Amino acid sequence: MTGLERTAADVVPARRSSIGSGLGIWFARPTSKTLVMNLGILIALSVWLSFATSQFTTSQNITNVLGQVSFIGISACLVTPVMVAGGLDLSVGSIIAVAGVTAAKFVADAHWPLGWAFLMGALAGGVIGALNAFLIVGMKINPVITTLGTMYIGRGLANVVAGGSPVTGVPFSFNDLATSDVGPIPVPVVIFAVIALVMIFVERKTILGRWTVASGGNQEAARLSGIPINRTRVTLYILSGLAAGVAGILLNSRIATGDPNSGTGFEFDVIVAVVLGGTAITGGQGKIIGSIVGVLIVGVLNNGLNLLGVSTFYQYIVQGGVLIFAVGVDEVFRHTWGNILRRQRFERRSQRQAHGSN
Amino acid sequence: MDTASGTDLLVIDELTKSYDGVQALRGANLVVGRGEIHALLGENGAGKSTLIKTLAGAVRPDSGTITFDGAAVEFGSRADSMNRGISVIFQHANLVPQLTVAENVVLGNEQRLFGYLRDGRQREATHEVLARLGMRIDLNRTAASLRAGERQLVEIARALLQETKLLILDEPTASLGTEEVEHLHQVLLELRDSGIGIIYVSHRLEEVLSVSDRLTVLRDGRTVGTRIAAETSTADVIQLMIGRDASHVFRKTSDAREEVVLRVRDLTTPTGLQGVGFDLHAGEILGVYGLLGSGRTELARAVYGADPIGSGLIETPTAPTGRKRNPYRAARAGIGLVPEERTTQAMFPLLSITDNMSSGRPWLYTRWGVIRNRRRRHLVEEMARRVRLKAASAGQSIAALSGGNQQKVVLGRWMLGNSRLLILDDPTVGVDIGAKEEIYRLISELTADGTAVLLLSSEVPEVLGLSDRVIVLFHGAVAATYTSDDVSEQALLRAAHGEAA
Repeated sequence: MTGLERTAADVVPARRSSIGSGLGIWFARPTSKTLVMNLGILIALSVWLSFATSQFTTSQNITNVLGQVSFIGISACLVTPVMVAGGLDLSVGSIIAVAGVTAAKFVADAHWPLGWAFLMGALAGGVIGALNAFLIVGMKINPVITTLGTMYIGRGLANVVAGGSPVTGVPFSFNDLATSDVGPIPVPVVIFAVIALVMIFVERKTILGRWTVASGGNQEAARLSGIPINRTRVTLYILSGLAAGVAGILLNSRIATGDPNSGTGFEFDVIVAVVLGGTAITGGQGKIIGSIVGVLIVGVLNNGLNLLGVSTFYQYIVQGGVLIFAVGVDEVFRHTWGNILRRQRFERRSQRQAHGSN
Repeated sequence: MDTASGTDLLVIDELTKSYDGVQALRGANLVVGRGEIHALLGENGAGKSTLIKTLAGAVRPDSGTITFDGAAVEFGSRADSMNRGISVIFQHANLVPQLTVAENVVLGNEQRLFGYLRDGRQREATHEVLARLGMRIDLNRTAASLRAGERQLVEIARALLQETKLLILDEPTASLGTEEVEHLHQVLLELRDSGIGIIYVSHRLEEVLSVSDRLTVLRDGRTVGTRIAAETSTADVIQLMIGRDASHVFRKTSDAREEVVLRVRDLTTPTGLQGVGFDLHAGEILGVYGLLGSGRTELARAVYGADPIGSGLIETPTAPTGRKRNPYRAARAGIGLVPEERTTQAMFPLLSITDNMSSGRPWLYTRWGVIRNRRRRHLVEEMARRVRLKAASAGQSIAALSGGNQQKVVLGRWMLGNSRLLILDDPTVGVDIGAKEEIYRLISELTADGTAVLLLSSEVPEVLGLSDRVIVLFHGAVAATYTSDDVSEQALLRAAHGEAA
């Protein structure tokens, strides 16, 4: 099948377990099990909402949900690899504000053309990403502490530059980026889709993707097998900053100004979606597709609660509950599965040894 | 002489244990009396640590019996064995560095009154015990501030407070100075006289012979003899430790060529190497032998660029020298490292065989950073065949493989795209006999192609059987250099023990 040598014991019928087949291998991965489970949750939730409310399945509402989740989704596509590589990025929420304020200031005060102003906004996010990279990789400061620090610094900078309130004198056209459509699809959704596809490609088909999982899975082994772990992490933090910058200009374009308080709590929405999607907080494990499903679950849940007329306060409670429930169930599931697999492996091995002694 | 009688504290009978098909113990016997210092000796991998772990309750034997203090026992956990009065003091002190001496001594044994720590009484007891050990130190100092010898004594104090009957010391003097060693021995003799049984594990033979009453030698997981220390010489012990007949060991003809692939001069590192120097030629296998702590692994890591060097020179034709060395550049320059600790330093346990094997030389199967999957799969499968990997498929997780097959994957990583220099740090540790021989075969295939091999090993026959030349490290420096034809196992072991003639 694969050209690998088989032992005599390998062809004993009892050994023909699911481990050998491609689908079996895929499903044996913990991330795959989480993905299947989350897809189930997403579908069940959607089906329930389509019966419970009349508006859920309207095309306008679906577009609306996708539009709302695209900002979180864009950032989650890059925060996922950061976390898989064993890091964390808490600064993305503040980058939203920094990017929005930067773009708005370039338009309103410096009278730059819109396109260039938006570019500067996104790049401002990249700059904060580079600062994170420098502190975490270069100065070896803990990623939680570093990005918690840059989260406050970013928020402060945005407020200082904007003077504590949304930037004034922004032309109406500032609003066009987020509100125009490509065919029937809003621009933020298109950008989310493009970034998601590119990042899934990077994850699966490029050496950067392999380096990411390897660095998070076993940092010392990665270093000793010649993987440039520092370069990998620097790249990921800068890209995460850039992606948050892109999400920032889109989000601020939607509210038609640069708001220094935009994106407050955004980082937690992103991390909730990523963790819900099966990424291990300890690194080494996680898939972007999983995070996208995580983003959709959070989006559909919030939308559903809105449609059902549940107040925002309760939404917080439900969101927190769902996170703990999903991750908790996953842990239990993973452990029991792991134990079953381990037991099977053990039995096979003793069987093989019994054969070997003949 | 050593049949079970009333004075025997511990009787171990025919203990066996295997890990994943590797037989660590094949019938170990050991009898320790009350009030006796009993040395446990053997080469690396002879089974000493497994035996100790069994007594500590960290490992469950497959068969055999342990009789302790007159009763047959089975230890399910560390706590089990501690409660019966067995204390193990491992090589690296098990103290919590941030806690004070007093806190460390009573750790896990705190006398509480509704959660309130009854400090005073315990401090008194601690003080008493430490005084008994001839130690006058401030109980408020943190463990981190103690010297190695002091830490050891604090651990012994802890054992004494728990009313230990059997004290096991694993390489207690590895990091001690001469005076500290003498003090420790004094303490041990006193404890012995008070009726405590002591198992003393050490590589320093002279020291062992001077302090112990009897000694037991393990070889390949079996007890090969028990002797009275006063009637035994170091030469006798070494003879017992080796015992085997060397003829069956893998032999090869030399493939060494003219070209020098690695030149090391006066290498001194913060990790403990002191003025190491040698040349390694293309196609040559240079064996490096040394005991635990002699600097073997440190040498491997320094040459590969994994640890910074202090002074000296490491020169390879393709990789940078000096401070610019790092693993990434080394791998690019055709240098590979198979590290000592496979699971923590070489494997990505969550990833597949393909990912694990292809992590070292990505440029063989990428273009502009994009993986060419077909090419990668082809390379990995071909290599899997070459190293005779036994696995269900290349997509299987490496964690599910046996130790030998895992090692073949790691070796295959550096055989992809031909290494100029391979550094193998104990490549056959935890590997079964069959896989071991295949790894030897692969090594000689490599040298035939001109790859230079730096083989660091803790197994004498391996070093002697494979190498063209052998250097022996002792305390971070080269103690002796041999061509493998003119050296006996005894000479090698003596040099490694610092007794070079």
